[in-house]
Amino acid sequence: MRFVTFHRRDSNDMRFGIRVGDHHVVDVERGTAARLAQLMPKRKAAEIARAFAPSEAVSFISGGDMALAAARETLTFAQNALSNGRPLTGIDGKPALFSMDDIELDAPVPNAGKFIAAGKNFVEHLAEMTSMANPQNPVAFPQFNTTFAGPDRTIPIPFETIRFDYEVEVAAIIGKPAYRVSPEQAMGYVFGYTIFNDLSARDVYRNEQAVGIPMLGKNLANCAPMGPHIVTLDEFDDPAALKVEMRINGETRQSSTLKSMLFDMAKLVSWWSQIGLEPGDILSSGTPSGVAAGRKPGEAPWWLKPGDVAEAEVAGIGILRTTFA
Amino acid sequence: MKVAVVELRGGEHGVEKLAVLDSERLCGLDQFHSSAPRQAFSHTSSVSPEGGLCALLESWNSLDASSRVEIDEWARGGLDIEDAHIVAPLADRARVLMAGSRRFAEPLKDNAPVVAMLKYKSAFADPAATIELPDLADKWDVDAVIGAIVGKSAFRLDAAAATDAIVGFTLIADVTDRARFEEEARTNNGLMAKNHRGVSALGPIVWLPEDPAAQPSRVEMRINGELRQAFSLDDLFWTVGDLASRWSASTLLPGDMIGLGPAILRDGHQKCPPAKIVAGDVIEISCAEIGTLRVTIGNQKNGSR
Repeated sequence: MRFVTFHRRDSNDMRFGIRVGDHHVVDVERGTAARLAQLMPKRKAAEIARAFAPSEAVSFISGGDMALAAARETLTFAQNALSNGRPLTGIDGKPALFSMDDIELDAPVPNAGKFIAAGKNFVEHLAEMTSMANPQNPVAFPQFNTTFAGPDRTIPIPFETIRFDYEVEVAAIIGKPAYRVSPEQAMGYVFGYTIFNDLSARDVYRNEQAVGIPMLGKNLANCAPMGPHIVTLDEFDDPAALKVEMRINGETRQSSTLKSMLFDMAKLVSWWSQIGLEPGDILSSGTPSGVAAGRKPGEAPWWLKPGDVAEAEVAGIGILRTTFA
Repeated sequence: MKVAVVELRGGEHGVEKLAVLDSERLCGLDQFHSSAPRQAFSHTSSVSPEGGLCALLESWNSLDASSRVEIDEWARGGLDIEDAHIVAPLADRARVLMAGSRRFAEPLKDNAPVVAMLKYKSAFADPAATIELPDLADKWDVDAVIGAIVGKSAFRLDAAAATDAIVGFTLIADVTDRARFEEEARTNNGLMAKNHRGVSALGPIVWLPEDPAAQPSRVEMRINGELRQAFSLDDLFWTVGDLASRWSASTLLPGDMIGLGPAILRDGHQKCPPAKIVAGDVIEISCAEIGTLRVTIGNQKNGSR
């Protein structure tokens, strides 16, 4: 299944939903309530839907297997409504099934508690950025949820930077509380994957690095576009080998697979579970080589500029597209 | 006004209520809200137990001085709530940004950029907790920190405006896994060293000054009664306005907290080095306006794999 957070174009009310084909989204709570209302009184249906398929990302993900089972049945219900040409409304009379034309997608987990973004985790990226040896343990920095942006957005380049860079990454969404789990157990705690473009202000970062611990260089406003949706792990043949690519204005800049990760996703989940992970928390993969900061003297600069379009693509998930202004 | 976040013993676990505090006396804000002085909060219905800490913080700036005094006086006549368990006064999803530097041996220069480490809510135990250090490390230390609490959304503010976004203060016992920190500092992060689950503490209350310009006075940290750190906000390299302004570039939200010192004193880092802690130690961090944050270090706990 593919999950999204979205809002109607005429409203700011963010809801959690399921992609129905490529052109529709069903509101998970309203759709579940409508489905259950065929079997029981409306009030009861609404209570059960709110409890087992709430329309907020972290609450839904915290529901675990029960929430997923409810969502699966609601997806079938929505597919049937769509194929029969029936409108699907919630028991509150509000629409439950939306055309993609009527909504905008948001970052899939806008209220994630922790977002731990891996750094220096692809050997070739490490080589283009620094002469340091491979780290012995996972390296990461925190990404604030106040920096999240949805897919297909136009993002102003922050005035704090003149060296603004892109990084395609896969982001794992944690599905269950995880504390000190082994790498062998770790993937059982992952709800699904989405795409993350780790926009980086390299000059701000290096200025911070000179005296301490970089933070703002990775956390300027709107610098964490994510999406377009979360794909549950069961949808992938081999989630450890996904192909990742970044194109800027159609030109391929980064191309690799998750097999090139120094610490694979299972090891990252295991490592960071030492501080405790909760449903909705996010861990990202790190990025392969090909970033603007890796350009050598004499080569044309690749820093992002107004008008550029970044397409971060991950096989099996889709394309996260961002335009810069 | 001093505000505590409490769970009532015997009540539903995890259900938190706001209370106002005077010395050892607490009064649930729901009782507070339903009686005098109603006028103080009459313009907002969001200040209620349901509204939570963030709603109170957001409202505080809009109260006039007389309302704040009235609230404080009323709180002094509050009811005892002996069965209240005070929890860390930290809003859900709030971030604690700790000012810091990894170059402990060098005094910072005037133009040094603000640097920070992040502590997640999960890193904090309740005030008065017995902290169980995980068996993942054996070198632990603690710093006393003043937590400045953000009361309104702040984006790209200058230092003066950012100072106005701060509505309250609390105390933080910032516990660090020092060996891990030294390793992580080499790769430019301190995320795990600062975020072991439940090893730091925060509280016991949030002090909302009646005078918006008021700041906490001298802070002292004692380990087993011995004075180990002492500082005031005037000693610190960066002001709260500097820090809030810098991090407002990334947006600050109500309930976010900014950790101030003592790792970054104006005269370098030798005056107040972190204090090593071991099982059995009692950490007391005190400030006249906020009270005493007292935690005990328990035995190391094993992790469950």
